[in-house]
Amino acid sequence: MHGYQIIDEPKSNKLSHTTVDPMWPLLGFMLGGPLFSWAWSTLNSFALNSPSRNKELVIIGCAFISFFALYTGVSVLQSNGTINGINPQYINLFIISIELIFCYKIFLMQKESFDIYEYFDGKVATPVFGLFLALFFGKKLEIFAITHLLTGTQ
Amino acid sequence: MDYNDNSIDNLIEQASQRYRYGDYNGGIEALKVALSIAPNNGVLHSYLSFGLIKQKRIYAAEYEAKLGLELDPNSAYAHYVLGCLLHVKKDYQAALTHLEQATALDPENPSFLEALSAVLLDKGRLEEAKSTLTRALEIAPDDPDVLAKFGDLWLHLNDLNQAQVYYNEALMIEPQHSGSLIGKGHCLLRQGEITESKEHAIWALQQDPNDHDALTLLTNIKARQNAAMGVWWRLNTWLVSGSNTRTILLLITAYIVFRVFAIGLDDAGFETIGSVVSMLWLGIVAYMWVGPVWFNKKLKAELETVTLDKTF
Repeated sequence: MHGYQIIDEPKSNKLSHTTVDPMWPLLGFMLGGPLFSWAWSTLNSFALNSPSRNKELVIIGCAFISFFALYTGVSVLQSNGTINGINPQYINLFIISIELIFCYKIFLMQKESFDIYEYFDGKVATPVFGLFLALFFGKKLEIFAITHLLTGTQ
Repeated sequence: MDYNDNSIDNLIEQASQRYRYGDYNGGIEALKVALSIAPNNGVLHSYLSFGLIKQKRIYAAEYEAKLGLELDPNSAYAHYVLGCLLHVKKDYQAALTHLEQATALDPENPSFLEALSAVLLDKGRLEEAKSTLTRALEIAPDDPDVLAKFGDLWLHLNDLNQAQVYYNEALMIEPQHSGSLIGKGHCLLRQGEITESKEHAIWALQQDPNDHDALTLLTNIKARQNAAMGVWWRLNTWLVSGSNTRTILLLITAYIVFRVFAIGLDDAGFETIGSVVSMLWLGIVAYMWVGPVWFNKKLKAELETVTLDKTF
């Protein structure tokens, strides 16, 4: 007889061994930019395999779309001269704030699932490799994407 | 866990006993066995939800509570559990609706009245909360849960002596009553009796090491003992005291205010002050990262080393 499984109990899968504390993908944002952080959160979502997984993936999808939309928008506004007089640091701050909203939202959603995962003695992977990748690869990826988005529409 | 008699009633009784002594893990395990035998039993789902609420597993608790009510729409208990869940989720109006339905279906149940009074208390309807509890006490004068709730009411009103009278009364009836132990622990903490307060938290934790309320009390004690950790705990408690949206908005606002300030200083030619502000910000961020790790380590060490006074 199979026991009753409560909906939030971890359902292990092939990726479970890659589960990390969602705090690390959030730190990955600071070290390697949003694209890397969201990609890492996507992997973590699949690894945690929680009931909120699909919601998390939708939010991550929205985050990617908004990233591309924001930089494309800035590029368009720059080319018509609409934002020429504005300090670029404020534009950067605006974009980072939007990116952070997604990062925190994903973090808070995954944190709940992770706490339960840990409670059930789920195996937690070391974040060192991810942080290393964020530091040496994430920023390059972000700069590459931003450069193409900003120059692409001009 | 070994279940010799797998009858549903026996398992419910086992769960009930474990819940009563704050062992929600044990209760949930018993109910999982019962649900593997009778997956469409609404009472079992509602009862399971109750344990999950106590463990703060809100997502699963909501699923089970709704399933319980769907399977048994006229069950007072199912309304009661959903009401308790909505109370935890701070959806007070919906919680009141379900708890009022529960009390209408079973007006003589002190637990339902007690839950209703807790929502009324949080809504600031003090007189209604008091009269509801008085009604519960008339029905069950020796019920430690009701007495403890009266204690909570006085604690909420900051009348520590009156609160302790009720907690002590509940503990006379049931010396291991976790709600009263924790409530009394909070009273003692507010009175500066840290050692005694800690003993109450530990006693509750010895019954259930995962008792959320007891852990909260112990964390409050640690925060009181160490100023540096206390700052983090209070800041963190304030940050997460509302919804996730509120937390996110607070964090983003803090970041925007800092950045606008730093950019403004740079623009005005005060680069040195801007650098100092940035360093301060980095310090706060580092503290917010290190704070929880440090706090958890201290708390774990406390749980591993603390022992009860022999006279307790």
